[in-house]
Amino acid sequence: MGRDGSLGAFEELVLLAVLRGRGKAYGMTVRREIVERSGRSVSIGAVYATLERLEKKGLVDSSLVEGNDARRGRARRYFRVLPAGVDALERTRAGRAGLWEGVDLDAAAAHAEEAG
Amino acid sequence: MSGDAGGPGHSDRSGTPRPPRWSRALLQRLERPSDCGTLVGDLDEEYVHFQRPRLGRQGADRWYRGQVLRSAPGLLLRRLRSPSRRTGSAALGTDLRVAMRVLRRRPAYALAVVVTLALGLGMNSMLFSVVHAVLMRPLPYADSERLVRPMPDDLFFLSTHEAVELEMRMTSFESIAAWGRSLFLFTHGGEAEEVRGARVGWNHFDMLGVEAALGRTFVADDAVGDDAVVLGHGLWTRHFGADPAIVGRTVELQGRAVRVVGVLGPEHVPIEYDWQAWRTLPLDPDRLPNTGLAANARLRGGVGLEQARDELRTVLDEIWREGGYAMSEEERASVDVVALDDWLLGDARRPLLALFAAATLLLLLACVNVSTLVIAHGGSRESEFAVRLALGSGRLRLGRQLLLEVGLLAGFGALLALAATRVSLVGLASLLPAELPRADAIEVGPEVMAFTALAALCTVLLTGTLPALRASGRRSAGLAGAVGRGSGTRARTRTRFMLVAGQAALTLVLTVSAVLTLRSLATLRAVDPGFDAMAVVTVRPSPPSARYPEPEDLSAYYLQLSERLAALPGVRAVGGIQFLPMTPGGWWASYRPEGTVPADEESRPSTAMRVVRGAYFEAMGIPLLDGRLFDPSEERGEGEAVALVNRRFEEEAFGGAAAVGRSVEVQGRNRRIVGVVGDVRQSDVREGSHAEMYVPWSAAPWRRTHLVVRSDGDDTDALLAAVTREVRAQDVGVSMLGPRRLHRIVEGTFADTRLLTTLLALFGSTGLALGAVGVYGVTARAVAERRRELGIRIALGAAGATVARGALTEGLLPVALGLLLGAPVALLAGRGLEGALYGVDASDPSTLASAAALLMLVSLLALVAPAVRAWRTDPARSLREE
Repeated sequence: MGRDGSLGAFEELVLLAVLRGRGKAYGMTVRREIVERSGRSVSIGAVYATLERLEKKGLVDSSLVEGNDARRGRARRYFRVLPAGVDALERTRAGRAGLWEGVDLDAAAAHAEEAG
Repeated sequence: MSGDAGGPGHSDRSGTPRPPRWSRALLQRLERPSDCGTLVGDLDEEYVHFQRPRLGRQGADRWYRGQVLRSAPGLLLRRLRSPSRRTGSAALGTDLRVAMRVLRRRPAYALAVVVTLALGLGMNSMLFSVVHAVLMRPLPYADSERLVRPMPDDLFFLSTHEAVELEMRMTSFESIAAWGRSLFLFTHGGEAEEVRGARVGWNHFDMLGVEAALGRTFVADDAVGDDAVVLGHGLWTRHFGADPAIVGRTVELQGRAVRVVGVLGPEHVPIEYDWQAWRTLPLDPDRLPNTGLAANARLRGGVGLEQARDELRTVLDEIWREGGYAMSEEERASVDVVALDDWLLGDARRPLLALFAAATLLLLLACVNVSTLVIAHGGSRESEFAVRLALGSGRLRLGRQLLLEVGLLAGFGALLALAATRVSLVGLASLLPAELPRADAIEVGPEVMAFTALAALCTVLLTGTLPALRASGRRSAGLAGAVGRGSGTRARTRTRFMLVAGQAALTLVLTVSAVLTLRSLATLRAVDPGFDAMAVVTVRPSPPSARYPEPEDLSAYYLQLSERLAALPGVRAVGGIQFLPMTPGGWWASYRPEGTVPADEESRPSTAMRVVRGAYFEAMGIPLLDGRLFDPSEERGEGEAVALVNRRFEEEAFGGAAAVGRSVEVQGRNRRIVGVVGDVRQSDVREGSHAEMYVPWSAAPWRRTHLVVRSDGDDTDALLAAVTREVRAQDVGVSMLGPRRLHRIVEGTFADTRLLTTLLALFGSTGLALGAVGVYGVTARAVAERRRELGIRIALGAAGATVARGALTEGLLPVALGLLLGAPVALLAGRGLEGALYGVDASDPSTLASAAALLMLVSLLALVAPAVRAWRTDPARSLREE
C-alpha cells in the first residue's frame, strides 16, 4: 500500500479475488481466481505473503476452519474483506480512473505508429 | 512443525492422490507454524481437485514442484522474519540474518567456499546419479532377488535337449525359460532394418514378472503357432512411429508375416542390452534353433543360490550320463548359478564404485579446504566473538552462528552442484559403455537431490564443527588481548598444519589413481592390434535368403557391391571377412599338420577359422610376412585347396619352421599353406592373438560378411555416407549393420577404461587445483598474520631471501608430511584399481614418485606469491600497523 493508502497492483488482484469469493475465499481459491481471471501465473507463496500483508494492514481478516480429505485434514483459512479493504479498493479504482480519463488508446496507438 | 492433523495414513485409506513427496516435505518446512498447515493444505487441495484431473500424474507433479520451487525463496524469508513463539527459533532467525549479512560483507570468502563445495558436491552428485540409476534401483522385474542365471559362462551353452529336461527336473526353480540370441530382419515399406533380439521360452516374461505396456506378452499358444513378436519400446517408436494400433497387426519379419502381440514399456531392461524384439522358441524340439541356448530361472521361495547350484550339478550330470557322457570334475565345477542382477551389473559395479569412492575423496578434500577457509575467516573475527562473549552472548550461540554461516554456503554450493550435475550428465552419457544397463535412466531425480542435501549437511558438520567448537570454547578473559591481536595463534597454526597435511594426503591418493588410469589408457591406445584402423570404414550387409538363396547369388551380390565400393573416390582397397576383429563371433576348428599323428582326437590343436575375400589384408593393413596371398582362381575355389595362416599358427604348428608349402588337414580336408600374415588381436586389444587360418570366401560363402573399405583420405564422414548409398543402390531390400569407423569399434572395446580414466583425471586435476588453493590460502594467511614478526626480523638484519625461504619451508613442510601419510593409502587405492588397469603395475613406485613430485611442484608454485610477499615485507610499515 502506498503512502496515500492506495493498493499495489498485486494486492489489488488478491483483494479482488477475496471479494469475489464471497466470504468463502481461501489461499487456493484466491490463487485459482487470479490465474483464471487474469491469466497471470502466480505462486501460492506470493498469494500467502500478500494476504498476510493485507491482514496486517487491517484490510482483510481470517478464520480457521477444519479441512477435508483432499487436504489430509489440514485447516482452511477463510478470508473476508473488511470495510477498510473495500475503501482501499475504491480509492485505488478512483485513482486509476482519474488517470484513465481522457485517454484515447486508439489515437495513442496511431500516434505511436506515426512516430515510429 | 505445522499441524499434521490428517497424517499420511488417512489419505492412504481414502485413495487420495499424493503430491510429490520431497517437494511437499520441503513446503512443510517452509510453512510458518502460525499458518497451521493451511498453505500445504491449499496446495494439496488444488493438486487433488484441479491439477491431477487436468494434467495427469506427471503434469500435476511438475506443477506442484514448480509451485513449491517458486514459493520457496519468499516463504523462507517470511519464515525468518516471523516472530516465533519459541525464542530459540527467533534467535535462529536473527542468527541467519546475521549470517547473511556477514557473508554479504565478505563476498570473496563466500564465493571461495561455495565454489569449492559445489565442485566436491557436484562430482559426488554426478556419480551418485549414475550409481543410483544403474546399481541401486532394483531391476524392473517382480521379486528380482529370486531371479538367477544358471550357467553364467557364455562359453557353456545349454543344448535344446538340456533346456527341456532342466525345466522338468529342477525342483529349485519355480520356472525356467531358455533363450537364444537372434537377429531379426524387419521389412517395412520396402526398407529393411536389422534388429538384435531373442527367441525366448514363452514364459520368459512371466518368469521375469514383466508386463507389456501395450497388448500382452507371450502365452503358450504363441509357441505353437510360432508367429508372434513382442516389440521393444525403442524399436516401436523408431520403426513403427509409436503407433498404438500396431498391436494385433502383422509385420514382415524375415520375409514372413508375424503378429505383433505386445509392446514393452521404456523401462524394460532386456537380458542383453541390445535386444529390441522377442519371438518364442518353438515348442517342437526338432524345430528349435540348434545354436546354443542360455536360460534364466526364478528360484522357488526359500531356495538359496548354493542349493540351486548343487541341484543343477546333479541334474545336469544325470542328463549327460543318460546321453552316454560322464561329467568331468572340471566341468562339474564350472556349472554355476548366479543372481541375475550380479550377472547384469557385475562388471559395472567395480568401476562405478571406485569412481564414487574417488568422488567422495574429492568431497573430503573440498571439506578440508573449506575448513581452512572457515578457520582463517573465524580467526579474523576473534575480536568480534570476544566482544560478543563479553557482552553476555552464549558460547553455544557463537558456535551456532558459525555453523549457520557454513550451512548457508553449503546450501548455495549444493544448489550450484545440482545445476552443474544436470549439465554434466549430458557429457557423461557419451562416455558410458553401451552395455551399461539403464544408462538412459540417469537423471537428477529426488533421490539425487536428497543425497546432495545429505552430503551438504555432512560437509557442514565436517567443516563447521571444529571452528564452531573453538568459537564456543573461547575464554571471555581473552577480551583484552582479543581487541588488539588474535589469541590462540599457536593452536590455530597447529590445526592449519594438520589440515594442509591432510589435504596433501588426499590429493596424492586422487592423483596417483588418475595417473595410473591415464597411463593404462595410453598403453591401451598404443597397443598395436595388428591392423591399421584409421581411415577404414566397415559395413555388414544381410542379403536375405529369400532373394539370395544360393551361394552363387551371394557371391554375385558381394562381388558387385565390392566393385561399387572400390569405385568410390579415394577408396584404396575393399575386402571382406566373416568375423571382423573386435566384434563378437567365432569359428574354431581343430587341425593336424601334415605328417604328424596326434595321440587322440582330443589333443588336436585348434585354430580360429577366417573366411576372407577381396583385398582384405590390404584394406586392414595386415602385412604379408611370407609367401603370397590368394590368386584369383584360388579365390574362386578352383584347383587345389589353399590357406593363409598367421605367424602364431606357424609357431604353434611348425615350431617356427617356415609354414609356406606345408599342408594342414582341417575338417577332413588338406589345405596347402601359400602365405603367412601378421598376427591380429581378434576379440579385444587387451587379449593376445591366437592361431588363425584364413581360407577363401568361396570355401564357406558367408551370408553376412563384413566389408572393409580403406580410403586414402581423412574424410570418413563422406565415406560413411557414400557406403550407405552404395549398399542401398545395390539392393534397397538388404539391411545393413553400420557403416561404422573401424577405429571407433576398437575404442569401444575399452570404453570402460576410458570412462574410469576421464573421470579420475577430472577428479585428480580438480583435487590438485583444490590442493594448490588450500596451500596458498593457508600460507598467505600465515605470512599476513606474522607480518609484525617478519618486519622485526628484517629490521634486525635478516635478509629478505632468508625470510622468504622460511615461508616456503613452512608451507612445504605440512605438504611433505601429507605425502608421507598419503603414500600407503595411495598404494592401497592403486591395488583396488588393479583389475581395471592394463599394462601398468599398480605398485610401481615411479607412479607414486611422479604424482608426489607433481604435487610438490604445484604446492611450490602456490607458495611463490606468499613467499615474495614475505620477502618484500616493509619493516617500518608492518611495525606501524600494530
